[in-house]
Amino acid sequence: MRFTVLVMVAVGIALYLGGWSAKWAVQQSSEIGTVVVGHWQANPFSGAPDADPYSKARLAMVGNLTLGIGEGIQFRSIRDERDRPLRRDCSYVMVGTTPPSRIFTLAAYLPEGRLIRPSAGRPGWLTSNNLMRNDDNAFEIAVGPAARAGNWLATSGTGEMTLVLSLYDTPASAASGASSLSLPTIRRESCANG
Amino acid sequence: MGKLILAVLIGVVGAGLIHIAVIFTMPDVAKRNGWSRLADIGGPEQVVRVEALTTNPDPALAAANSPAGEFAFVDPAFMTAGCRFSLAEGPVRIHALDVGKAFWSASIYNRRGDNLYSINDRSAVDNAFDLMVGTKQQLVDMSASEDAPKTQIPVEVEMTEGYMTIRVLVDEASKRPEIDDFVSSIRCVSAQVDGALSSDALRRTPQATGGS
Repeated sequence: MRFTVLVMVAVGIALYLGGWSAKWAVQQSSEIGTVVVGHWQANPFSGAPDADPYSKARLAMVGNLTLGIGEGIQFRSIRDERDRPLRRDCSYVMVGTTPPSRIFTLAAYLPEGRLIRPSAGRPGWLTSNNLMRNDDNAFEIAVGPAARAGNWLATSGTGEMTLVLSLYDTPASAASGASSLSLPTIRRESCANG
Repeated sequence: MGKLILAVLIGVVGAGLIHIAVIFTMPDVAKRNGWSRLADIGGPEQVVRVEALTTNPDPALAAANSPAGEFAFVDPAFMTAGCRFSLAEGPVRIHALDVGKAFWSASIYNRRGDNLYSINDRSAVDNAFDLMVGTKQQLVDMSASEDAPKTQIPVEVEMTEGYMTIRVLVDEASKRPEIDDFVSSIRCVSAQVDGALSSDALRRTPQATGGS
């Protein structure tokens, strides 16, 4: 009897603690294998056959379609240059250049990956082909709910958001070079409610 | 008391083993991975569109049925399509009948979601999207039994089930119909190899269909 209880204690601890720690690790493992450039983060090995087991488990749970290393790289940012969370009701200015790539796109999502679609007629995403640029090839993109002249990415609603800058067909996706890239900075201009 | 501590210690060690086991089996048993999400919106060898999940600008319509496929962080600037396939019956030819003029990029994954192969319009021959996906043996049999088109690219993979995704850039709204035609012309078809005689190099008669 005593022995049975002890076995049950051991098995119970093993199952509960093992399952809980695996779940916790998968949820917290988003930093494993990420490349951080300023306030942008990318996971170049996501979906690669030689990715670490935690990234693989995470990908299996999230289930999104990853970009292959040969296809491109997706940088995400949830914070501005002063480390404040990005908010849908604030307006931001994104200034800078991107690494060489054939195409890049910029879009705003909810943190869980749902695209923020502004009301009809407003640009919900931008592609590099249609950007206006300065003489030095740098660009300035306004992000926010209020219409702006120039490059403007419209957002709507309130709450946190994630900006995603996807570079396609770029040497930057070869991971060795990813951390020394220069990416645009995101500066907060104003907020609707303070 | 000593025995209880021993039991707890065994439990903790067992927890470590279970942790490792869970992490390693997760890609195989996960119910909501890329493969099963594609399975929700289409059968095998059927080319399906992957739409971005969006917030609805009009709250009144928020309850309306959401677009098919639950993929997060889908790039809205691209038209994305995918198909699932199995190599159990032979190699699979994934090709577009049209030649795409826009930038496109395609990837092949195994069932677990490992990205095994990528190609884009510039690395393809004459911009044509034409892949013959198979195991090494299947591709050898295939090339022995028939001449592939010049633009076809053999893709050697070691797997039995997998999926393909292709992203086609829509940078201007006016190009959307043309790109839509291109995406609609994509086919995933099982290429028949005459199973029993496939390795027979002497057999040069026209391909018998409906074999195996």
